[in-house]
Amino acid sequence: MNRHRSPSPALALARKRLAFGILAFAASLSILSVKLVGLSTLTPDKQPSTEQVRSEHPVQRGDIIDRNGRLLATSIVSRALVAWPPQIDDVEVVAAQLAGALPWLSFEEIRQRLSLSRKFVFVARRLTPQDQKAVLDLGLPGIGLKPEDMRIYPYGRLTAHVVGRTKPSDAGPVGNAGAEQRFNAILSDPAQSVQLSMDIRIQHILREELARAMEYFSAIGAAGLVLDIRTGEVQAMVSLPDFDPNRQASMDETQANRASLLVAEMGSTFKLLTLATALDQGISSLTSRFDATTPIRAFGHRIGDYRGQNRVLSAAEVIIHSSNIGAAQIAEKIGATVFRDYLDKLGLMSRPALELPEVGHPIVPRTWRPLTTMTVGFGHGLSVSPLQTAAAIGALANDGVAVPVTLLRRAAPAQVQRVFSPETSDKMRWMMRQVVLRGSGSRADNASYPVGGKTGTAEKVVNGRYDRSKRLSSFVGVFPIAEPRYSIFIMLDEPKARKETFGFATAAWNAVPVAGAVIPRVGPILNLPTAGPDSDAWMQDIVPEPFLSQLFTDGEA
Amino acid sequence: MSLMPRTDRSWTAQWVWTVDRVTIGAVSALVALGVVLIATAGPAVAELNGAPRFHFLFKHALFLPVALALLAGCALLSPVQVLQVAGLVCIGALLLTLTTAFVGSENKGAQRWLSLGIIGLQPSEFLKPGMAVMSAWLFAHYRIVVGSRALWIAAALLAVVSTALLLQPDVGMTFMVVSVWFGQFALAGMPALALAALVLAAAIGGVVAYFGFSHVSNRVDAFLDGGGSDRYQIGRSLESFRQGGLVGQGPGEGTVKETLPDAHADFIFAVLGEEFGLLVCVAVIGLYGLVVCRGAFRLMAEENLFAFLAVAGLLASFGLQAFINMASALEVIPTKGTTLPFLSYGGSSLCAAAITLGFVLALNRRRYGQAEVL
Repeated sequence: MNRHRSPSPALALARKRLAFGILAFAASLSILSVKLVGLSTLTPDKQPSTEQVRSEHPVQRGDIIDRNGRLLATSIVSRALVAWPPQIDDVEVVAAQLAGALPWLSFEEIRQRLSLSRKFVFVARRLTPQDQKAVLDLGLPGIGLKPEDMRIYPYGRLTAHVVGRTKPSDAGPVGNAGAEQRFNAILSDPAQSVQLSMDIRIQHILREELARAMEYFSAIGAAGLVLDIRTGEVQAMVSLPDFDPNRQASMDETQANRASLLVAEMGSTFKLLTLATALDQGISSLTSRFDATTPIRAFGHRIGDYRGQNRVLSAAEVIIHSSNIGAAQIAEKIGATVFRDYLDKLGLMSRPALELPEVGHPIVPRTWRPLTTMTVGFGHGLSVSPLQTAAAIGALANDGVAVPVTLLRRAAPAQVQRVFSPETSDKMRWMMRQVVLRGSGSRADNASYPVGGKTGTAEKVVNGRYDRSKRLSSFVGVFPIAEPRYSIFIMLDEPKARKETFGFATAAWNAVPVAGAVIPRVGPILNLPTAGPDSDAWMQDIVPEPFLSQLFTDGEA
Repeated sequence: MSLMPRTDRSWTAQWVWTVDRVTIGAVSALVALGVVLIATAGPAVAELNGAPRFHFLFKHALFLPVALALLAGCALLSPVQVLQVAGLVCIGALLLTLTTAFVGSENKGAQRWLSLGIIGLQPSEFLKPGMAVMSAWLFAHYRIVVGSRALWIAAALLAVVSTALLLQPDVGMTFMVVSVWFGQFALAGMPALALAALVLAAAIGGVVAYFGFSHVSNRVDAFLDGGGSDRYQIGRSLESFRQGGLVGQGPGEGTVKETLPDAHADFIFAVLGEEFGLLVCVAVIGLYGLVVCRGAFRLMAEENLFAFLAVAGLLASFGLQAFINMASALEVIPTKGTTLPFLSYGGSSLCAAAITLGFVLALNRRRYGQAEVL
């Protein structure tokens, strides 16, 4: 038998140490309670934050923003109404309950979807939070909500043609029009965003004025552009009629982008390019004379003037009075080879490199006969887009330097090409200003931001023949003309005459006033200096006062 | 109870009047709450794991009578019988634990389970009560019997058990067993200097565990960085306490169970927090505190050193496990997967907790006269 000690001293020590243990345990539990109180009552925000929702279902597509960072297209997480048909016992009952909760869906529509013999079907997309709650409140088995990317276009119609649209796919939204399609690869990375050259404020003004004129003149369509002629950036591009990309899944023919996709014979605006080429080549001066007494009969065709002066005109008067006869003669003197070379350098013979899928190819005559040169001289026979026209006239005013157009914001163009000499550019600016001061462009002018430009009224080709009643009337201008920064293009498709325009439906009466309304509104936004009282003084340096009488022989000068 | 007069000297009446009824009441409350929680969390977790809807609830209902029988049965034992049963449990569990290292089924990175037909057995759970009682007897022997070598045997036992647990590997369980052993040693009169040295050794052991086992270090990293690979579970857990607020979302109304595969076991406290709220959570903490502290206070009057050390060890094991589980869910400590006694789903854990408290009730009963162990 082993000898035993008394357990009492050991028990005494054990009790002392146990008391410490009890204290430590009680303290540990108190820490838990404190942490619990902190978590449950001191955390103010009980709703999951946007960040948390995003982290549960991250958006799959980057944003598109305008030049000032305004959101033009963004993605939010929405929920689609989905169903697992095998789990649904009574399709009729479930469909009736869903149709009751979502009045915008018909019972028949839902019943059809639920009756599909598939494991999983989409019933409806893009449910609003209210609709989501209504569906969840029903608590129907086999019916669920699936997170999905929802593309939002905050400016809706305003950016429809430029920003474009997406369509849903298994891999998330895919761009199928506009910048959404062109930059799909970049936007597919949600960390990336695309900054366009557009300024949404200018876009808004341009669209508002175009829509007003389109309605007033009962036109079937309209297009407008504002380009930065130094950088080639498209500041605004409007095509009407447009559509709301937030609602409309596809667009119809009439909603195509008239500013970049449509190509048409631009008419008289081309005469500026004809004269510029002649001046640049030394073939003609502003004072050169051209006989416009009678229409030209050449190669079995008759070239006449819209409002014939029936006299000999100076080159400047050919532009001011928009004489087809004069322009045809100037073009003929230039000759096909040289003229085509200039048009090519101006980007009028090939598809412009604008970053949109909807950019039209110009329709260039296959064989360039002597008659072709003459008709192109006054804007017929060569079909180009408004975008190309605005860029070409921009180059003319930009010291004669052509700049490739772009839809992306950039400080300086990548590559530029001199087309005309600075002297030619100066003379043509003077010419464009004269059109506004004493010709058909007068309604484009304003006191703050003097404008230069040229009108064009072309008859549309219907069934292979020119239709006198269907016109494209346009104005292409440059402002401020003394120190050109921007080109503007305005076009109305089939405008009708009104009492207020004295029965006229030509550009001077409908397209030009739109430019006249747009320019003074966008000038302050573009941060342009306002003109002083002697804002046309620069014209003296190009054509001094005494020479005016040689240019304008009809006594108007 | 009034049906049973104190003069009744029958066997049942004696048991009822001498057992700690407060502890029984606390355990009953925990068990009842556990059933409710597994009824709410079970179906969602079953769906996550592709099991039948009421799989976990049914299996819990199957184990519950067994566990309650074990609890009541163990509470009936005399101290000598406790020692004998604990010895059998300890040796059996040790052998089975060693077996799992070779033939067990792997689950979440460790081999801890023995598959016995429809039920899986985790023998290491039963090592805890077995070890606590065995080492208590050895420490008591060392203190009371002159010239005892029991301390060395206790150390050897600890070495063998730790090795078996580390083979699985189960660092969390090893930590608990080792902590309880040293706790008992401290109570049994370990010199103060040695106590300090052991605390130091424990710290070093923690560092070794941190660097030696990748998933442990991951969890500690996640805890320290606030952003590691296991952040998801703890993030969801913390969010559920926020969502629960003061009174909870209501039974069955929580969502944490739909995203956490361990919501019915390791994260049952999060389900409790979300559906029942702060007040019930604090009450549950209070119940564990009540069981442990009341048992410990009763020890102050205990005259038998073996019973003292055994109850202290069993309560420490029980309390430590509850603390680790709740502290993990609240991110007070790095996440350590362990069950919450009586609340969590898990047959082995439930039965082991029942045995633990059964032993406590048996040893903590008012005894008249000396216990005959030593």
